[in-house]
Amino acid sequence: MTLPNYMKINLSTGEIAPYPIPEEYYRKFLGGKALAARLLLDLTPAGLDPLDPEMVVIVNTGPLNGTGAPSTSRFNLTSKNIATGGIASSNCGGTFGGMLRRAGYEGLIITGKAENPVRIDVSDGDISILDAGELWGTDTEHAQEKLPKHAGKLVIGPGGENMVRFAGLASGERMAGRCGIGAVFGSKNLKAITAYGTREIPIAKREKFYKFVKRWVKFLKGHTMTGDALPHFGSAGLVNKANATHALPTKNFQEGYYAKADKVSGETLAETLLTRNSGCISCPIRCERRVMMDGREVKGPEFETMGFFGPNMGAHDLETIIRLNWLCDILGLDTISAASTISFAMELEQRGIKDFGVKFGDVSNLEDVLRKIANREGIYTELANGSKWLSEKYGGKEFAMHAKGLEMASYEPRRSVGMGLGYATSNRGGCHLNGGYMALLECIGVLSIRPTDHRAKAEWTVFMQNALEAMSTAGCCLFSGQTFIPQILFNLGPNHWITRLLGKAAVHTGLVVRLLLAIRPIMLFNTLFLMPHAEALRLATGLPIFTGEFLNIGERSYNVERIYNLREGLTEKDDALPKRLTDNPQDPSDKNTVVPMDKLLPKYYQTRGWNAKSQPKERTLKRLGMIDLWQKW
Amino acid sequence: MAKVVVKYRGLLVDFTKLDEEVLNVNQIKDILKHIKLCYGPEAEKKAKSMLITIDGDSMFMRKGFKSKLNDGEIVQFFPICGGG
Repeated sequence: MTLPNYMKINLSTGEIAPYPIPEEYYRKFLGGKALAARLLLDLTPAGLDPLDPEMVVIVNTGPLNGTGAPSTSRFNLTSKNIATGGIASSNCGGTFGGMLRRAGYEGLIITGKAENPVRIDVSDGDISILDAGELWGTDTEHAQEKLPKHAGKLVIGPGGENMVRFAGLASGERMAGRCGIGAVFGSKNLKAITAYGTREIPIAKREKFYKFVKRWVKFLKGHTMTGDALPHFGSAGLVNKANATHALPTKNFQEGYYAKADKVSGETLAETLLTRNSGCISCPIRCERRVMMDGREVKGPEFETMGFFGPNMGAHDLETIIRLNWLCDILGLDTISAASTISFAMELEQRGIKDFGVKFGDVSNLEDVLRKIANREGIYTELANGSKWLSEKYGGKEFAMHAKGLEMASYEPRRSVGMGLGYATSNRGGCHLNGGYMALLECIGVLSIRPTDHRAKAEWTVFMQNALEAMSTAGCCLFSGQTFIPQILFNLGPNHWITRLLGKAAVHTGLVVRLLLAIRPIMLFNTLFLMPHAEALRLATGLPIFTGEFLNIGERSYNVERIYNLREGLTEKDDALPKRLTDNPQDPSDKNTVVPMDKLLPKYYQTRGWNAKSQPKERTLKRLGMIDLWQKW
Repeated sequence: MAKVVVKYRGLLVDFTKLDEEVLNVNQIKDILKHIKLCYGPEAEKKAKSMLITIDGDSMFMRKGFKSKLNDGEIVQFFPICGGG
């Protein structure tokens, strides 16, 4: 077994030293966000300000990064979120993760604060802290142009430099957008990291691994979701689907249906401005949209960005959305939080509370607004603090659409109550992916588990959260997990009586899911159909990782991040949604179109093995082999 | 009979060779019959496996294949998508 190689870099002192990862940590947390959260607990004292020089940022990979297994280019960043006060984890595709491993390292632990702007260069085993004075002040596009062409890159833009609370990092044209880790980089005067290497990535059972990889790629290509839907339309293809089930946030979640949604849909994009699809290295899905903007080809917007800069602002200008998406990327801003915060400001204006010069239906001035947010100019410095901060200053907490301080994604939870539970309980805040992405099973996929019915949703949310968490930990893209929905359902289609019956019957499967969670110790098998990632991990690491243990890793990850949040002062009260979603039915004639948190949350805690204060119980931690963290909050 | 606009999206266009057409029909199932008649049973099979909307709403917000259609409504066939 080869333990991951981590280095600790202190920007205050310039000290660079190995940071040994205990074997126990590796076995239990593997890598990515799970291992990073465990390390963050060790490396930082409780209550440390995210912008304090002693704050730690962990940039790390999972065991499958760079191995050539499909959809395994996702690397992770973990720190503390300024906006939530809890864990920050952000995930990004592209070449950087693989390059970091080829350079000889699975992770970098960065602390301290440089006196002047610097960048970290990792080249085939050598790590240097270099001057980045000439990069400071540049956007992410220009900064990357000035960095070595052959290297994997990770840079902040003006948003990070000015410590915008939702500043992300760019890697090529891909973004680690969520959770404001760009601001933590900015606070350390750290502009960029580059990585280049030629080393071989260790794979325990190389021949078997690549044999399995071939089968896995074939499986992905043959599945409707990963071989057809995502390559053809990307995530942008969800606009019409979400709208059709009234799950498309419109005008800051005031409604869930936008009459002109088709104008900003993936289908319309494909028919007009799309040039081709593209993707990360080793990914057969190729979900990335390439589109034309002012005569040049750029990365196209994802569903979230389409929804938030479109219907959620009462607008439907596709070309403007493409431009705003690009602008957020080069300014180093998270499109979800930036757009959602602006939508909240639009509602403040609509209600006559505060005028930031933004109005529903008018996106013509948003380029200017985004630049001012990134540079914290004038009153826009307040928008740079996010919707939670704004609602605390001006009021409107009931319609500030965040959970824990992180703006929610573009699925209206009143038409996907499991997704609502996911937003509320997600450790990093209002995130659809960390939240378990129940929207896929409730309102936008082939299967529709009665979207407004709370039954079995807590159990499915826990299952999905654990599974997605484990995939992230391995370094996998979550799209690769969508094949767990049986192909037969796609062959039948969403309108077939069998598919519809399954959707209706699934609300009675709570006990089945709990049983599935309970029998993990005997799930000593791996299958291509359920969690192929587990088999790839087993072969790559040599560890006895089977489906049960794979799900355990996901659960440990969820628990260790929760323990970090508890330690930082978050409580069960933070597992909540704005009142708009819990008290005001989306359809006034249907009282079920709310998220019934009072019914969902107790069941969720029970399924997780947490008490009513959202604290993991002693026996839960014992079962997960994490008893050392009992009451460490 | 209602005069409705029917829009075909995704791989269904490979069968229909057109993006949209105007039809006089009563229900969604009449449109499926039309697709089978004009573009073949494979096209109908594909259409049935897609998300079908009436003025942006899922047809299941009405009565599924038996949803009654009104003049001027737009019926669309969308492929199933994934995302995140």
